[in-house]
Amino acid sequence: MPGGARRTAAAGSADVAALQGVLAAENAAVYGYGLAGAHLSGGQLSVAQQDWTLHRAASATISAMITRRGAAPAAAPVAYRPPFRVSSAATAVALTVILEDGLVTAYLGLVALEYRSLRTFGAQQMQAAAIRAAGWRGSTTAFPGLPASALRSAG
Amino acid sequence: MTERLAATRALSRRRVLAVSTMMLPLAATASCSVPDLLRPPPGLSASVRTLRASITAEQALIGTYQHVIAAHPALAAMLRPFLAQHEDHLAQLKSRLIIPPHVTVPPLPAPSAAAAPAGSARAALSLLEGAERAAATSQLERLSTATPTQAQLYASIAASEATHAVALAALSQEAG
Repeated sequence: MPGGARRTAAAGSADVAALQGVLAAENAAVYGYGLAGAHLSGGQLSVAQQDWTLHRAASATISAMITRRGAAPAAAPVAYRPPFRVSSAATAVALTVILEDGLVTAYLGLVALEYRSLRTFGAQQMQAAAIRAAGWRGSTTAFPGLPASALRSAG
Repeated sequence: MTERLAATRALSRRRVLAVSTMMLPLAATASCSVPDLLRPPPGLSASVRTLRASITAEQALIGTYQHVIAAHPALAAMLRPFLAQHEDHLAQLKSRLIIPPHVTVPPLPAPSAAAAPAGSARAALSLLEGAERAAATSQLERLSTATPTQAQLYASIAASEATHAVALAALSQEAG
């Protein structure tokens, strides 16, 4: 059916767009953890190295998911401009929090898709990124990934 | 006699044809998808039922925290931030619950009595950790029947609950 085919194509296009968003966030994390790691030591450096490895693997996984959908994964930029100057352990930790929060938001995009397994995958990855973010931040948040504009004032 | 029998048969055929002609539009109306005015209005959608289940589960989790805090006042300071986030979850879930005016639904069930907190602080923290993990898992099971925006809320709440579980596990280790 032409209508059904159009819907399927639209859904596939939305899937790829959301996955490209996740890939961009994963690639930014790979670069950012490398940058942060240069200013960390001891236990924090070990955790950062583990997380860097996780993000490299996730980047490859997401790239493969995009390829399976007949699209080309967007190439990672050669370099990223961090949101602030990273020059100490404190700023390095602040950067990892921003990177993980960005990943939670990127994976949230998968949760809104029609494809059931992508929703579940996105939600599981959100949990993993939220746990890493909470670990670096030292505290939990009520609504990881959701912008304030998505929350209703509940009087 | 034979003529009367033939006339009776002819009359019956005419009646059958007449009745059939009258019934045809009714049969056609019943078989197509024209809304039936006599049919009762539809009940709650799957997404609303899922939302109600999520609200009930969140209320139960809040009840468990309140039981633990009452039984272990020394844990109150560390547990209240988690409890406050659950109260935020509940408020957001409730704000999205809109029951159509034509639908009569039973009120949301009162939170069931939470499991009695275990004796030690460590056991109480482990109880909460398990409850948080179970809650996060249940939220993921709701994704398939949720609207996209509801699914994002469930996933965000599940992520929050997953971070609570990890934090509680660490606190439990410290308490031991």
